[in-house]
Amino acid sequence: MKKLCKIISLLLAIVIVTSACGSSSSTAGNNAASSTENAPAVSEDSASPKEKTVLQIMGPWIVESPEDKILGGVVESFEEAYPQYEVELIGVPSADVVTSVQSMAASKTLPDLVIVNGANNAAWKEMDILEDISGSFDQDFLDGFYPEMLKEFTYDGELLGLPLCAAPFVLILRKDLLDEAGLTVPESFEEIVSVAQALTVDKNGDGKTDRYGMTLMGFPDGNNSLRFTLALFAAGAPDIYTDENGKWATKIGTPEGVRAFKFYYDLAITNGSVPPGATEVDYKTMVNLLSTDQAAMAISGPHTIGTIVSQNPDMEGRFIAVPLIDKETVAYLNPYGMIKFKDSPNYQGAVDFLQYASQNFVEMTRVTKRPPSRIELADVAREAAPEVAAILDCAQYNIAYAKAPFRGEESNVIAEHVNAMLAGMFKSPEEAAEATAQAVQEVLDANNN
Amino acid sequence: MQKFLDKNFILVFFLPTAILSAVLIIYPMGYGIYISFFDTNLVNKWDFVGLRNYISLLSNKAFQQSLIVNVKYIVAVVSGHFLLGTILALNLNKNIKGRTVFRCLLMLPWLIPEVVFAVLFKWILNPQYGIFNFTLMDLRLLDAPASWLGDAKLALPAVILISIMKGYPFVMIMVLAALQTVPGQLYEAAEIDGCSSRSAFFHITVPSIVPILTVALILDTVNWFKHYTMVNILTGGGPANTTSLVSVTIYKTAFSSFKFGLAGAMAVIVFFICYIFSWIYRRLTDEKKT
Amino acid sequence: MKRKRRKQGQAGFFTYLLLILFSLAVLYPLVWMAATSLKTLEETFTIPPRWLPETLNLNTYRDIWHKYPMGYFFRNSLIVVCVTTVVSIGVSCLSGYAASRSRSYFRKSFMTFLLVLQMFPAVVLLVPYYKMLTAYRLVNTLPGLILPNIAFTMPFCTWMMMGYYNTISPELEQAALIDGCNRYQSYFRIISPLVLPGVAATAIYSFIQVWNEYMFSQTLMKTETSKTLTVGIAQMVGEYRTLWNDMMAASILASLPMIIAFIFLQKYFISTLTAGAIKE
Repeated sequence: MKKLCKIISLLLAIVIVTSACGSSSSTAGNNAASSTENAPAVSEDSASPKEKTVLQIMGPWIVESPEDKILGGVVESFEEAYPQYEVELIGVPSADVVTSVQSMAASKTLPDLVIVNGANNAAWKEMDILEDISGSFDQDFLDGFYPEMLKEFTYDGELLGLPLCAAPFVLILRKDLLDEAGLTVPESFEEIVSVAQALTVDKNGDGKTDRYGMTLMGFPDGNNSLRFTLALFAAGAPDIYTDENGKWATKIGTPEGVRAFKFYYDLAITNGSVPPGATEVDYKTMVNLLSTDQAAMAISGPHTIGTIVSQNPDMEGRFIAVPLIDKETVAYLNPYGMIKFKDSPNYQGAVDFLQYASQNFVEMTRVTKRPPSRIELADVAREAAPEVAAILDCAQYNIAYAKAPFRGEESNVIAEHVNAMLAGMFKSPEEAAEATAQAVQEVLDANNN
Repeated sequence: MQKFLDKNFILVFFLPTAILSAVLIIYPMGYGIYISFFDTNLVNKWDFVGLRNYISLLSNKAFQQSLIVNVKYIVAVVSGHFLLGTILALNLNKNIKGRTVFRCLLMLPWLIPEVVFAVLFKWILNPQYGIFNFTLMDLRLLDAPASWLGDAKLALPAVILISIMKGYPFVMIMVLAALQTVPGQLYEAAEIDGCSSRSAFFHITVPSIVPILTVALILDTVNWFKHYTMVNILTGGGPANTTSLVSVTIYKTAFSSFKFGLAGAMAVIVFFICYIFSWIYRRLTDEKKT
Repeated sequence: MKRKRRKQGQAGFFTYLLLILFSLAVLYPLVWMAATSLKTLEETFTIPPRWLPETLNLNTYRDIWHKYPMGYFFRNSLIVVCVTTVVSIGVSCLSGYAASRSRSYFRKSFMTFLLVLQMFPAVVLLVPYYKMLTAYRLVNTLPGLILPNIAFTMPFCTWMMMGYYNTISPELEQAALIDGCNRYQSYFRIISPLVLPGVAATAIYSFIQVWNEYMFSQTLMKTETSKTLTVGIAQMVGEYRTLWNDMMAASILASLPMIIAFIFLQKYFISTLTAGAIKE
């Protein structure tokens, strides 16, 4: 017994010591994420803390580097410009955002704003936790956005939030390698496949392939399905659309849809132009492959190029971003911004922040190469990164990514089938297309009544 | 009063646990069971559907496959824990030099958070830049990089092995503690009586640790049956759903498809299956005890 | 060939071989982890991967205390772990004893039921817990996180203690009762000191379960300074890239308290083979 007491007292001592150390070291150096929370605003403002309304913003950028510093900077200057507000940042990794929103919605403790793309709008609107905020902004202000990006943040004619920047999907490729091999930028699936084959080389002659032409994301998550869906649209086979009767339908099973499956199939299975283990590749792995010169092309965007370059400065200037072209020329802008929750504690504060942030988000473009959402910032963006310029021109090719409340379920279905195909579970792309079409149709049928 | 306390001391001893269980376990579980009878997203849709969720699961292939994968997983993982844990504990109980060092080393996998362990292995097993393939190729055991977590045939075994490595220290430590409670005099007496060490093992060691082993087996099974974190990070349930454990499926149903009622029904079915198995298991071991 | 009669407990060649082999297997990923924590971020991405860093970089261990609120993470984890363990062990010592000595079928069923409750996938419990704690304003507070942790460790601890109590013969209590003790005295004075190895093992189990808990900690704790270590480290796995060296360094630091606790508690397992735990 005595010994046990000794141990308990030792542990308590450790707790006390660590918390003492922890508090001092944390308050000393911790600027990244928590500086703006709970501490009074930076300015020499004389308003007492009680008079400030607290805005709660939740999202993944708060725990990602370098996005956290950029967001922190915007928040600080916002608090200076609007001293009556104080911003509390709640960091939630992107994989957990939906779970957190769900739990908070179920217990009615939602924050003011959440950093997210437009994917969940339909589902969240059905849950009745979003509301129309278009009335709080001037039409001029709203016209200053790229209309394609603004549309992603509307549903059923209601504006639910504002886009702040884009994380687009197009085709990124190594221009230097293309030039070296004397090839031109591919403009159809067949061309991409042959370019990939040409770029799959054994650099040092040891019998092992050192660089592959393309990397495909096979890990069964949302990023995977977004990219494949882009390929579907490029082939002219939208995964979900509304037909003449206003019902949900899919073109996955059509010959055009099969083209998209064949595209992936040829790259990975027929030609082996994709590094082995495609089913394991998630976003981070893809970035690693590209930045370590193990793959030459991918479906992603300029923000990916930004991350690649920061990981490997040698890659500066070697990648370009072009629209994905097959039967159609497509791009998906995938704007990121903030959605405002209904019945949020501070309506006006949230609206003010949205307006301020969208106009002051250039730093994000400069650092992470994400194109801005406001047209007026386009020139600044072009200067910051030429890759971004190409994307802004692609805005016209933005696909009509359907807004459906069951988007999460359908996305899982596509991701799982792409994963299965890359794992070799289907004997042919036709089989894969048929299986996927069937599964998606089931989801559509369940939601069509 | 004293007499009442004395007579019912078992009740008194149970009381704190009972109260805590009622508040902290039974209420949330009750909620989970309650929502299984609805088609709900927990916010604004609450359609009472009775048993429809349950009936739909009878024909839900994805759920059934998850159950099968889960059974394969749990059998392999728990057996692995047991074999490894018991063998190591038996050996650690002996008089060896550096015993503390070995004990601490072999405990380490358990002490590391699951998230870290999973991310670490995802990296180590990566076909392009993971150290494992390179080590195997250097040892001439492998020609070309293998995709351990991406190949449909290799993924489940890989996940199982990682889980075994993560969890065997639990069994090891339970058995070790049990071995310590065996009085040394018993062994001495046995030796004096002329027992061989193998006989001593079977007649002294094994019976002493069987009660603990039983408890450990049950606890381990329960713990790993609902495993989610590592598998989700390592494979996301793929490739081709070969590692789709039940928890992964339930999580996706709840938080991607927003079908909490269905997820609740899945959880209840899993619960019942486990209950039946543990009931069967207890019947078998109870008879053995006498 | 003459077979040397080995004393029970004497270690032979195979014992050492086995232990060394498995130790190497365990060390393989862990050494990689340690090596990574000593690399610079760029070095973590080299192909082919190298075991030893070219330049030893100890800065990571210092930098993570500035970059992330590591002190808070540690403090929160320690508090949650200690309180949960103390409560769980206290409660389970009592109920484990009761379960071991109980003859009633109802009690045995209750034990099984309690345990099987743990098999209920925790995912479905996230939302009810969130709602419950919101109602009492316990979300984002440490007591709010301690409660579900107690819920998850208590049944296991009860079962474990029951297992240990089962190894103690009821004759001891009979002897005590005959000597004039009542039930409570016989428990506190005689029985409980005997299960100390069991308590130690259960304590370690509880420590580790709670220390490594992720799902609830992530859902219930929102502000950076109230998060636990597991959540803080998991956040280093970003959507876009992973800061490997930070994460590995933080993980090693995070494992240290558990290792220290284990080293302390494992003394309770040491008993020389000549002196038993129970003195006749």
